[in-house]
Amino acid sequence: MAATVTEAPAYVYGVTWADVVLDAAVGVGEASVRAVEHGELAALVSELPSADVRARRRDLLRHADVLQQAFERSAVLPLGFGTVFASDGDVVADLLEPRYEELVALLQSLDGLVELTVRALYDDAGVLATIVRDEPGIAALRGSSNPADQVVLGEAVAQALADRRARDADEIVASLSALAREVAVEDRVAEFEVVRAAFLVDRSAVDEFDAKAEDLARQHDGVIRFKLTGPLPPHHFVSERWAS
Amino acid sequence: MAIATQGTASNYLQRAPSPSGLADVVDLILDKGLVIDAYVRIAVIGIELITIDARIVIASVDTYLRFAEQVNRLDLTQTEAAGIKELRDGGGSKAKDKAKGAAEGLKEKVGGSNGSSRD
Repeated sequence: MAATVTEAPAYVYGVTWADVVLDAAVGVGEASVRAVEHGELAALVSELPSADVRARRRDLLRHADVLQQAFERSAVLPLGFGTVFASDGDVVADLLEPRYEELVALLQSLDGLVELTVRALYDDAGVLATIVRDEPGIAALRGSSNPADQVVLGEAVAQALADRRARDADEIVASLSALAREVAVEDRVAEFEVVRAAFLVDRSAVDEFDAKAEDLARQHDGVIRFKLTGPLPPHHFVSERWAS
Repeated sequence: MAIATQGTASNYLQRAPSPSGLADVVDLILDKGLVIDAYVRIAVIGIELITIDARIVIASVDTYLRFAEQVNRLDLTQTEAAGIKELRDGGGSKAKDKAKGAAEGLKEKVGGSNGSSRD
């Protein structure tokens, strides 16, 4: 990463320490990623042809990928997708310089911490079978072809699923939170999704967290499938909203 | 897709070292991370709205009828035995294929949207 300065709009991915080196990372709009440095800090930026670019799915993936690459080398503060400054000079003048102390403190506070995301999804046949087995009232409603009966059955199933989801989500989050510094639970889930949550975990506790998630996946085998992603940059735990 | 990043043997938990698709990435980088208000943000609003749409669970007669049909179709003896065995065996299960299909459906919806401006 050469610390060159240009006057083109600068798309910013995140902020890291000035000594972090990325090997030929490619960013939004296929532009190469470089560092704009100020003191001990570096903003990871790439040049945009204009500030009027529309995001494509590839650009979203690139944003995450650049942060992931930086994170593999050092702590990094991820910016939300889409932040553009008028020029490299503005990145320094309007971000790195006025927020220097805060940025340094935030980066230091995240040193050695990683984000792990957990997504738990019901196997639809598995969970529906469990509901029918556990609830005689629902089992008794099965088999009627009368539309009114079907609506009653379906509504009872929907309610049972919602109750079960609340219990399962609480259990999963409580169990994994024991190993985390902070937790962020998504409040919107899809139909057969149990929970999506992000956990801020000490790097040294990643294996233990993995083992705990593995335990949960074994306990719920056949009914809930678990996906663990990470270690990731702390996307969910850098929640500052700064007006300039 | 499932990459074991740890040394431990595991057939139960699916692991990925980094986000593996657009739906995962959207969760991480839209409305997350440091947000600096007063600058130009490049357009992503279409993607956001469609993603959220796809995730809202709608309580409706249609949903109830679909649930009823699924429950009526269940063959309880088979489902239990097969479901557990397939997951233990770890590969090519019906359940996994179904979930994969659902996830890809969501991704396609998201990917198909065009951004419009947002600041």
